[in-house]
Amino acid sequence: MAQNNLDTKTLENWLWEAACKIRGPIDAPKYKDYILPLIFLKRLSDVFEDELNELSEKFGSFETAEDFIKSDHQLVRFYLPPEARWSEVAKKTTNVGEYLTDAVRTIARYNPKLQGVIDIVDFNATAGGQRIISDDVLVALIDVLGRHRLGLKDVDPDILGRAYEYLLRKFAEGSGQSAGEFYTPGEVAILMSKILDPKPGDEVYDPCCGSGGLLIKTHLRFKEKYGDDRTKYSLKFYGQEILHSTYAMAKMNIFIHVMEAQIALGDTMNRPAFLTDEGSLKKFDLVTANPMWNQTFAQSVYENDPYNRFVFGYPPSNSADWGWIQHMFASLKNDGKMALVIDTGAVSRGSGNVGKNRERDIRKEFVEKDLVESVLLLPENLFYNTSAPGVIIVINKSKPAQRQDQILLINASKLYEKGRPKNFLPDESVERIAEIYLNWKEEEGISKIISKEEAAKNDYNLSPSRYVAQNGEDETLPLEDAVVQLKEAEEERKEADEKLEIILKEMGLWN
Amino acid sequence: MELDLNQKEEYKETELGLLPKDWEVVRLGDVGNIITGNTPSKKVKEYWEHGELDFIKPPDLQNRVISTFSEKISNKAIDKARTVKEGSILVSCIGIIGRVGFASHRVAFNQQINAIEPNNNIYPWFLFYTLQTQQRQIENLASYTTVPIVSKAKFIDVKIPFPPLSEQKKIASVLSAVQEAKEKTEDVIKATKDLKKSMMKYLFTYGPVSLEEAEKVPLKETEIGLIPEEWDVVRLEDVVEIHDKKRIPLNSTERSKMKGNYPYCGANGIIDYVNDYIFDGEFVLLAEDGGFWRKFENSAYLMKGKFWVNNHAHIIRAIESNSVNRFLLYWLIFDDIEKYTSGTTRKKLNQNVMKNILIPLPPLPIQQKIASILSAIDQKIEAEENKKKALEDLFKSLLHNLMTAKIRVNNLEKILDE
Repeated sequence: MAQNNLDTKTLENWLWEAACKIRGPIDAPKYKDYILPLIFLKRLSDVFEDELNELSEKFGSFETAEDFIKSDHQLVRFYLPPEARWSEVAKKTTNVGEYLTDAVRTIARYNPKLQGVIDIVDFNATAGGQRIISDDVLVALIDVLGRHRLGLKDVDPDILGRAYEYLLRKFAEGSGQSAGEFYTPGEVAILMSKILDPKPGDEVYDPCCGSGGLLIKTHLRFKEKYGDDRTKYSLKFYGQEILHSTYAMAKMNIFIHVMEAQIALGDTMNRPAFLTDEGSLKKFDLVTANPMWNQTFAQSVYENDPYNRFVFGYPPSNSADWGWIQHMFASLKNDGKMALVIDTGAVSRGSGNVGKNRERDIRKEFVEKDLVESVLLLPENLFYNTSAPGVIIVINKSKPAQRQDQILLINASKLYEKGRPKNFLPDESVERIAEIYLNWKEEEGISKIISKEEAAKNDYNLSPSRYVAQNGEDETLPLEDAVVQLKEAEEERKEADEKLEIILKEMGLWN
Repeated sequence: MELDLNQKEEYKETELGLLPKDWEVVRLGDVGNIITGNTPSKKVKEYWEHGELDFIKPPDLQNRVISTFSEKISNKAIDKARTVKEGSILVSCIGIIGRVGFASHRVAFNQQINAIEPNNNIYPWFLFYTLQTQQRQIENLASYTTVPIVSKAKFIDVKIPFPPLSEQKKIASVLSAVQEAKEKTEDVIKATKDLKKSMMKYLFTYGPVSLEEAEKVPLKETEIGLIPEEWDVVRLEDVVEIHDKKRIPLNSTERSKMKGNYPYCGANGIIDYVNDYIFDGEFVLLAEDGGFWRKFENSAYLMKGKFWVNNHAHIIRAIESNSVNRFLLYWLIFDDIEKYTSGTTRKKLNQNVMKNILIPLPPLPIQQKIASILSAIDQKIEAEENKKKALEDLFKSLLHNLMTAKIRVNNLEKILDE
C-alpha cells in the first residue's frame, strides 16, 4: 500500500525550504498556517488525480471518467473541479492570492465537509493596504510545495501530522504558551495509544483534541494491531477543539487518514459537543487527552455545571487539571478507560498539607474508589511549550482483578535521548514503557506497584519519583508547578482570612 | 461583649472561676461515653495485615482533625479492639498527657488514649477546644510511677465549662476560623518553601531568565550538572577569604560570665549571646561539624554586623571582585555538601575539603540577581512565619478568653456553625 517515499530528512528539508520562502512577511509560529493548508490541497489534488486515473482505466478514457465523476461526486473521496486542482493553481503567475483563495472556496462549496476547514486562510489578505504575502512569494511557495507527489501510493497518510509536528517544533517554540497550542509529541501520543489499546468497535473521545494527534495515533495503533480491513472492524472517533485553526487541522488530518470521526468546534468545559438525546454527556469506551495544563477557570464553571461532572469536588480556580480529569471520567462508559497527559503537579500538589486541599481530596477519592490504574512520569523537556516533565495518568473503571487496590507507578524520567531544542523518547523506550504497563511489571529503578494503603500513607501523592527513586534525582517540582501550588495555597488561605476577618469584625476586635 | 462590671450579677463563682450564670461546670463523664483504648494482639498477624480501620496512637494526635495514621487493623481485629464513631474526641493519657484529636471517621485506638463519644448536649468541636484549656488540670490528675498515667476514673472527673449548646457552637466556630487561617498559612509556607527549591534548581540551571528564554540558553554539562555555557566552575577557595583562624570557642561557663547582646554562633545558627564580638561585617557561616549538609538543607547561613563564632562553623566571605555572599550561600544550601564530609558517626567538613567545594560562577550582576530573587522568597517565608505565629498567639488568647467567658459571642449572629 502506501509507501513512505518521503523520508524524514527529505520531508524536513522540503518544509524548511518552503518556510524560507515566506520568511519575512510571516512570523515563524505562523508558517504552518500557510504551509499546511497548501499541503492539504496538494494531497487532495494528488489523491483526486489517482482516483481519476484509476477510473479512467475502468471506463476506458480519461474524458468519460471525468464526465462520470462530474455527475456523481460519490465516486471520489473529494471532488475537485478542474480550476481548483494543483496543476492549474501552479500555472498562475498573476493574481495568485485571489485565485488560490477562490480555488479553496470552490472546493469547500463542492465538498461541504471541507467548509470551515480548507477555506479558512485568505491568501489574498492585506494588512495596512499591503498584501501580507505577495504573489511572487506565493508562486515560489507553491513551486516548492509542488515538488513532491502526495498521492495514495506516494506518502503515508501521516504526512500532515508529521509536517505539523516539524513546523511546530522548528518554528513555534516559545510561542506555544500564548497560542494555546499544546501539540503532544508523536512518541508520547504513540505511548498513550499503546496504553489505551483500542479494541474493535470502540468509541474514542478526545475533549481537547487539538490537531487530532492523539486520535490519529490511536487509529494507527488499531490498524497496526487489527489490519486495515474496514469492513470487519472499525473505531469511531470524537474530538472537540476550541481554536478554529487547530480544529481545521484536525479535520484535514482525519480526512487524510480516512477515519470515521466527528470533530466539533467549541469550548468543551462550558459547552461539551457530544450529548445524548436527553442532554447528558455521551459516554465512550476510551478517552484520551492532553488538556492545557493548569488552566484557569472561574469557580462558577464548576458550581453551575449542568452535566454533573464534578462530583469528586471542585478544583481550585488556577488549575483545571482535576476538572479536565473529571470531565473525561464523566465521559467514560462503565467499563471505560482513559489516559491523559498532564503536569506532574496534578499527582502531587496538596499532599502533606495540614488542612484540606481540594486537589489532594479529589485525588484521594479517585484512589479510594480504586480508579487510578497507573501514573507514568515522563522525561523533562519533551513538550513544545514547557521544559517541565509531565505525567500520563491512566484511569480505568474496570481494573482487572489482579490489579485491584493497586497502582502501577512508572518513572520513565531517564528513558529519553537528548535533543535540541527538545528531548525525545526513542522507540525502544516507548516499547519498554508500554510493555511494563501492559504486563503490569515491577522493574528495578523504573516501576513499582503500590497498594492503596501505601498511597494513603503518602497522603495520596502519586508522583512516581517518590516511590521509584533514580540515581541523583530529587523530587523538586518543576518551577511552573511550584508556582501553581503556591497560588492554590494563597487562594485557600484568602478564603480562610476573609472568614476570620468577618468574625473578628463582628466581635469588635478588627477595625 | 467583654465582661462588664455592671453586669457582674450575671456571673457566678464556680470551681473553674467566674462564669456566666447560664453556664454550668460538668464532668467529662456527663457529656459522653468514655472509652479507654486497647491493642489487639500483635502476635496475631492477621489482625494487622490488610488493615481497614485506622488505629490511633498518641503520636498521631498532631493536627486538629486526626490525619496521621501510622497503623491500621484488619476486619478480623475489630471485635478485639475498642472503637469510637466519627466526632469523638481522643485524649492521650499515658506518657504525653493531654494531647487532643478530633476523629473524622470511626477509629480504633490504643490504651494510652481515652476517648469521649459525645452526647447530643455537647458540641464535639467545643469539647475539643475546651479540653485544650484543661491540659494543666488533666496533667495534675496524673499519677507518676515510671510514666505519668491518668486513669479512666480520674479522666471521667475532669471538669469543663458547659455553656448552652448554641454558644458552644459559636465559640467553636470562632476558634476554628483562627485555626483554619493558621493551617492555610502553614500550607502557604510549605508551598513557598517548595517554590524556593524549584527556583534554586531553575536558577542554577538556566540563570535568571524567563521561562521562554530558558529554552534558548546554551547549556553545558559540568561536574556540578547542567549550567549556562557562559558560567565558570570554580573552587570555593578561589572566590572567598577564609577567616577560620580568628574563631574562638567559649564553653558555657565562660559564656555565662560574659552575657551580652552580640550573637554567639555555632554550626547551625545563633546559640547564645555574649558581651563581645570577634567579627564585624557580612559573612557566610558553613557548618564544620554537627551540620545538616544534604541538598536543600541549611548547611550554611548568613551573619551581618558584630558577632562571635565558635569552632563548629567555617567562616568565609566572598571576595568582592568576583563573588557575592548570598549567591554562595544559596549554592551551599542547594548543593549536596554531605558528599564532601568525612567521618562516619560524627561527620565533619574539613577546611581543606571545603576549599575544594565546586561553585558555579556567573558574572557578578547575575549572581546578584539570583541572590535577590531567592532572598525575596526567603523574605516571604519569614513574613508568613510571622503571620502564623501571630495567628497562634491570637488563638491562645481567644481560647482563654472564650472559655473563661471574658469574651462572649452568644449574641453574635454572623458567627454560624461550622
